[in-house]
Amino acid sequence: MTDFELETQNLARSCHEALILATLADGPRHGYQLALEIEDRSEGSFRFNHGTLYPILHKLESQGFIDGSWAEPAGKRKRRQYALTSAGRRQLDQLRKAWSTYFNSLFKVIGRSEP
Amino acid sequence: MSRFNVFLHKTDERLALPKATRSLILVEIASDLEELFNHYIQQGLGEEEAAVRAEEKVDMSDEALAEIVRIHSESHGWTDRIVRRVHSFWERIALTVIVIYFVANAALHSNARLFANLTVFIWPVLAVFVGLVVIFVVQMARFSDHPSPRRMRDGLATPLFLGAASLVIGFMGTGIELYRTLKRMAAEPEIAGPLFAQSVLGVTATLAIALLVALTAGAAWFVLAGRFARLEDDVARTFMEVK
Repeated sequence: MTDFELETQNLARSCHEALILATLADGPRHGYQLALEIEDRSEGSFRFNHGTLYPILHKLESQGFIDGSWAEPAGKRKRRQYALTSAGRRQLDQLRKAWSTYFNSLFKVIGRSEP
Repeated sequence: MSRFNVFLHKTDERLALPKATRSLILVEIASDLEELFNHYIQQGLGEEEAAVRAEEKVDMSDEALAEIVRIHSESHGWTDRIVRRVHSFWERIALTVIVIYFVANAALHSNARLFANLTVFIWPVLAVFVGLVVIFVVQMARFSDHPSPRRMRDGLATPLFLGAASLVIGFMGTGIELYRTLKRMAAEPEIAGPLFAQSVLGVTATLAIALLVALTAGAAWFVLAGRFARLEDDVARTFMEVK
């Protein structure tokens, strides 16, 4: 196992965090962009309701994993934009390792499906 | 205001948070609503349906709202609540008078003999005081750069920690100094009286200054926290008026 282990009671939250951090690794995004991009990249498997998204974004921000700032594009209203911090990048690496370990362990028990 | 006024005010009523924090959350939701609305319009939906879809997408469950309130309540700790409660002119005046009274009292009663009597524990107390002055000046300078509230929150409670450090040093110094004196009194009983008097003079003078530094730290924190609360309110007011 890696040093960083997933809390089995909190897998959904951990999964959401990994999805958000991984998407932000490609560059800063607004909240609505994150939701749409995750849905798009996962081909609809992960559908994010913004209502779920805000608490996770604000929590990640308070933990210092992402940094929120206000952008005001010309002629548009102010928008909140989130960017990955260096601590967030480290957290993403740990989450990637933890999820790999988790799925490997899971497949050892339940087996992989035939292609 | 936007077509999502009713939705935003309903969400506003469900957010049990200070006005400034609530406003910033609502501005974020409002901008996402507009962007989602435009996204659905581009997908070919009519305005009414696009608005309904955007609201459905952004609507927060009671659990999500509770989570948001919990996260932001954590960041607005008990120290913030004190500052926000002590908001009237007279309350501020009363606090200022208390600080001035103690500082002036100490200044009036301090003389060369007092400083000659201080114990060695005065040095860490003075180091804490210098640190406090530096941090206060730096923080006030950062405020004048018009930063974001989130960036300014970092280090806001440092004066409180320094004040606590001064108290700990003062009381620990008192204990250690009295212990040393008692040992010397046991070894040299013939001069026990003068030794004790000298020691009590030293520890009380040192402790008084440590307490004064702690009080100054509290005042410095109060000024910074008040400045932060105003900054947060200003930012929120700039973005949006929420009744």
